[in-house]
Amino acid sequence: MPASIRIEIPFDSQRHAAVAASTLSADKNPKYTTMTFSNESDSNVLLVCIESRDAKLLRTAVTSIMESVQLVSDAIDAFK
Amino acid sequence: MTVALGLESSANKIGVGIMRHDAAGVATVLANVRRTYVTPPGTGFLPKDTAKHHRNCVIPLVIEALQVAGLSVTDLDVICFTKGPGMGGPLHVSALIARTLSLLWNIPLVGVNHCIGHIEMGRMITGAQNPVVLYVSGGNTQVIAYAEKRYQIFGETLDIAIGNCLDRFARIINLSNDPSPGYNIEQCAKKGSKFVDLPYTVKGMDMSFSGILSHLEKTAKTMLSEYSKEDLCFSLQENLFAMLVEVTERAMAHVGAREVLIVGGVGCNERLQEMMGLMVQQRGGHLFATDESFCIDNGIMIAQAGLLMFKSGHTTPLEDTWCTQRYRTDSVLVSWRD
Repeated sequence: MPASIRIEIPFDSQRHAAVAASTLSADKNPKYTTMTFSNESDSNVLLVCIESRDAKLLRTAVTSIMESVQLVSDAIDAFK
Repeated sequence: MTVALGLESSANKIGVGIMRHDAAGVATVLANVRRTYVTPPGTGFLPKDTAKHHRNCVIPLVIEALQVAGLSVTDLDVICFTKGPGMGGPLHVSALIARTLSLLWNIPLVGVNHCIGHIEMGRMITGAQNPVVLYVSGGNTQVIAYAEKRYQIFGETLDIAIGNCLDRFARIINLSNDPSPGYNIEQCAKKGSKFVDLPYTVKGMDMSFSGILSHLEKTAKTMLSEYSKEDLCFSLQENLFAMLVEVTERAMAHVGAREVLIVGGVGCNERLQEMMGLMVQQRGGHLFATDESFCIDNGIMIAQAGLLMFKSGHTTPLEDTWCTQRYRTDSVLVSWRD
């Protein structure tokens, strides 16, 4: 797909990055967009890859996912 | 003993509840906290802003619930959340928190149907055995009866929910949304006296409300020159609630029920309870209703339904914890009842 982005978000630990990746992976993809979440083993970095049909959809997906990442990150901090 | 956390955020309320079932199955509410997103008069709540409100509230709300219950996250045996139906963005907030807690502390998850949450909480609080359930809220209007492991839908709205009709009427006459438009319509109606004819749309076992709303949108301004806001609120309630009484009575007759249980936010309305009570009494039956802590969307009902599901062996694997705007009440196998 023509519009794509790769975002790396560091977490406190590999475990926390893995929790974030699993939490975010459970949602269904929005229309004309695919999102994958992963963290390489031993890495504390959450990797978010988004591919969309066009830039406008990509922008919407990025805004939405960053809100989710923020919430998950805050929840990990509050309840770890 | 089993303890469940319940998270609910399908509309403009976000609720967190903690429920305990002891070894004998006796249920105790340990916490039930809630925040409501209220918009200015003449407006309704939109998905993006509502989701934002919930994102800002949810973590302090979970902390508050745990404090009230005197528990920590590790004391929880299961984490329950509303899978649907409802508004996508707002629902998603509960799901994200539920999944995060589950993964951090290795606690199983249960995705709960919102309507079944209302039914199971109503049953638990009132002790009703096998009632016809009238589920009426801003998002749903259904007449339900339990049969063969399903909460069967006997009748429902063909278009919008009754609460939606009431909420949007409140916008037309610029009533406050605080604490809720329905509450303010109820208070206003108490001061009304002149009855104005409105469309009455019962269709067999089902009902339609969007025509009544369109009628009000078109004629409210002219009606207000002859009738007061109070008269309109009074007339609308009498009209709408009579429709609900009719379809509920039809369902009672159909299944031979002697009990009616009203759940959902509109169920708080005392005039509705009064009208329904008169009909049920005439049939030699009993009406059950709950107070606003359980009628209005809340987290404890999700904990209760989720706990029943969990104890009957049901958990939701992580890959199935996505939320859905449409989730039929009768699509859930009620494995916890005979």
